[in-house]
Amino acid sequence: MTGRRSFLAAMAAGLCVTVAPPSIAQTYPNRPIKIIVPFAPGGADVIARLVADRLSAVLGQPVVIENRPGGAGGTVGTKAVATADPDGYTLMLTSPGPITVAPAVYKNLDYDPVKRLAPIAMIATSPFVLVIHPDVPARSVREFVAYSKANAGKVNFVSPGFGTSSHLLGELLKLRTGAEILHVPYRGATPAIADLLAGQVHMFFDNIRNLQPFVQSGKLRALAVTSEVRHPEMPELPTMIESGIDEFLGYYWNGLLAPPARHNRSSIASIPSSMMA
Amino acid sequence: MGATVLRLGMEPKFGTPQDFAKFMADETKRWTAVARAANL
Repeated sequence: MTGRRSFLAAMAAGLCVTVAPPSIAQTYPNRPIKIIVPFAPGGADVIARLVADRLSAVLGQPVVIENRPGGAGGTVGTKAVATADPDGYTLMLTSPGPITVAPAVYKNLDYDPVKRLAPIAMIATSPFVLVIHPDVPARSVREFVAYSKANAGKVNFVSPGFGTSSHLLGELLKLRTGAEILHVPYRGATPAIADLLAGQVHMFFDNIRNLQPFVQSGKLRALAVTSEVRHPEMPELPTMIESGIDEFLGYYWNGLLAPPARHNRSSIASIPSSMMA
Repeated sequence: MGATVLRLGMEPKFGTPQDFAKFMADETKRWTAVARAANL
């Protein structure tokens, strides 16, 4: 399901069932809406700006983006949304880390994504791409794994932080292949990519949007994508499955969530009809 | 908007809230298994 109508329908349906009690629904929205992005500027807020523009156009209210970085993997900003007033005026545009990965790695996570955040709509997905610095002598995932084993303790992989999707994908590669790679967590993707470009570190799983320019310019070497089928932007690149690692899948995504309404979640009546146009 | 998402190298995925909830639940289950196996 793609296109403007389906997006608006999904957004309207999501807002209807998640964000506001009936008393608010009569006039919603009557003031600006805030979308919190729990990361530093760049990355997810590219999609957030698209969503804000669309929502503002159809709802007739300003929709502002607030970056709220901090904590591990976006958990600080996510907690701020999870504890916000569930009035429909605080939304969240996120990527996987604080929602589907953090619960797996933080025993003391102080919010429950399932209970405290209601899904409104998935917006976009992208496979991850495994890239290495060109100095690493590998032309395939199998060659990279073999190189890591032959140089145990010397080969590393980077991530934007502990408990991020990139981190878990690296761990999955270790589990599935026995690759001897050490995790080096950074504070965000930007410094991780900078050090990878400089040859200070060796390997990175990140979404195609972030890495494609560097692959196309030859500054990084892509070995595989984590989708079920090859990506149309990089059709020459095999999947991890084609590279011999069964069921190795991983998707970056961006989605819109909100604190769930405390009252009668299904009775909002007056989402503007233009949302469905 | 879908065309813009495509230009950014991503795939538009405008499902229902229910679809999104199921996706998140499945992903959480999958990554939890990986984290436990990796002893994180």
